[in-house]
Amino acid sequence: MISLPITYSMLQRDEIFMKPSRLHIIGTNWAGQDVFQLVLSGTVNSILLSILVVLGTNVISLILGSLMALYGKSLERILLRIIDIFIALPSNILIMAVSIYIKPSIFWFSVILLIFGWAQGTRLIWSHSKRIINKDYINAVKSFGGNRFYILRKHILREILPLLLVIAIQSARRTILIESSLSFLGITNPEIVSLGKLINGSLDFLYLDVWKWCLLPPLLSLILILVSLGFLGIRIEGKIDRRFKS
Amino acid sequence: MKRLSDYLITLFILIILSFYLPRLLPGDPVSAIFGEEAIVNMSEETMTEIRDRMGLDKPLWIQFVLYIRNILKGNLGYSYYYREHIWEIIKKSFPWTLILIGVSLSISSILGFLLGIGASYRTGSRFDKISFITMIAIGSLPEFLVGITPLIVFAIKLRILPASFSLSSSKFEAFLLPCLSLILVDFPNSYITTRNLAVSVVKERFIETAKAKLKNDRRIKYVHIGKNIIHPVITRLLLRISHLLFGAIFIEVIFSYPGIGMTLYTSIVHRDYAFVQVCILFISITIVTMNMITEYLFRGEKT
Repeated sequence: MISLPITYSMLQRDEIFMKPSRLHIIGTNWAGQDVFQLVLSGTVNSILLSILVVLGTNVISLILGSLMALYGKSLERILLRIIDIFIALPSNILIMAVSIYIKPSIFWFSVILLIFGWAQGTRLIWSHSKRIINKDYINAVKSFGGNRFYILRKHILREILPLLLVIAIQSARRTILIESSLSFLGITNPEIVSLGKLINGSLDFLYLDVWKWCLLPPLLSLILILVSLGFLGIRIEGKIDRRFKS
Repeated sequence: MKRLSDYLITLFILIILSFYLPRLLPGDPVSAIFGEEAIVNMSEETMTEIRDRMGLDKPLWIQFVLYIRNILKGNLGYSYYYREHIWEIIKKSFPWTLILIGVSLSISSILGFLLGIGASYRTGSRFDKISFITMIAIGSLPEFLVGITPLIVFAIKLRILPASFSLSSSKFEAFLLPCLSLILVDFPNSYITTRNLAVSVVKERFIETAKAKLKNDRRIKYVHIGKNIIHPVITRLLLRISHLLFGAIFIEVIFSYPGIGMTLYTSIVHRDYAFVQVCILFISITIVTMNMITEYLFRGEKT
């Protein structure tokens, strides 16, 4: 059983810069650690982090967004104002600033990302719920005596659930993007294995021939993750757009 | 104006964050603000002087007032790693970043404008599909990944351009690679925006009329269509400045380009927290101000 997140001290060491062989499928790096193992662990850590962030953003934006639309009035006004301010904040650089001082663990890093990333999703959920609430059939439901939670449960939730997928993919993309960027600068917790750190570390050895198995594997896997998330996002957004139009 | 007050609150939050973050750390606030390494080399007298100046023994709100007064006076403090006043370092390095962003953003915007309109003419063709997919793929990558590729290709494999700014003799040659990377970072966005905007214009009736009247295809492309989309294209350009300011940090680090991102990175590595604090405040205020100006100029414009 492995405990998560995977740290550097959990990995075994061998000779440094070994060529790809049967023992180390894609060789070892500057610290003598198996590159294949490192890339896998970095990916697992990124996925762990993005699962935390995705769950958090979805829960927050679902609850806040639908409540705002349902109750309206001052709650809606105040929250919309706060959302506007949070969207205006330069989130990337602030996440960077906070991590420089705190050097957070995976959990706290996800909390920081949540603080600076809940606003967009909440706004999306709010605007769609608002549109549904303003439709005529909701008025009919109200006149038949359906209360707010009945409307939320029976009518809004089922329209909004596909949007949660969009928010999930966007926030997963953003999370992996910012996590790898910050760990590339060496700002995140130095113990936790991360693809960004692997890439930055191998840049120091570019003059050797080792970059082929030190740099390329983490580079390619990061590209693969991000590009596939990007295409997935566009595909799903397109599908949902068509659904809402029809 | 409601939006203006939003931005003022945002600026206030930024200043509070930059003030409060170093004080969140456990231990001596002097060591949190200046970094442990600076403390070791500091004499007792300097320490007490700093404490007095920042009012570290006084209540938090008085410290905050002092902090704001120091910022307004332009007294941003002293960097112990660079052994220089922080404002001087920013003044020296920020123009480098501005040049880098300015040149690459204008090139990528012009290229994106021309090629994007061209692509809107051929929607559905194989070339258009392939280039669209490639652009989306590049656009979904973080800045540092986009920057590494030119580094490997031109500096490591072909060895025609210098990999690092400090190693090269000619400043112009060393400027090329960071500039190219930043163009690559911005070009997908520029291309896709222009293409999508132009696609909706191409279908309009007046383009058909123009096609019937004019023989010159190029004139229709860049004058008739271009006129209709130039407004959102410029909005995009202005909004991207703030985005690229963050992205340039990574590009500068990769090529050790002497801009503000590289100085920030060096000070992070050397734990020169006094500089980090001011530098991040400076970058974030620049970003927010840029966005504010853009929104003010293009009120009611949809991007």
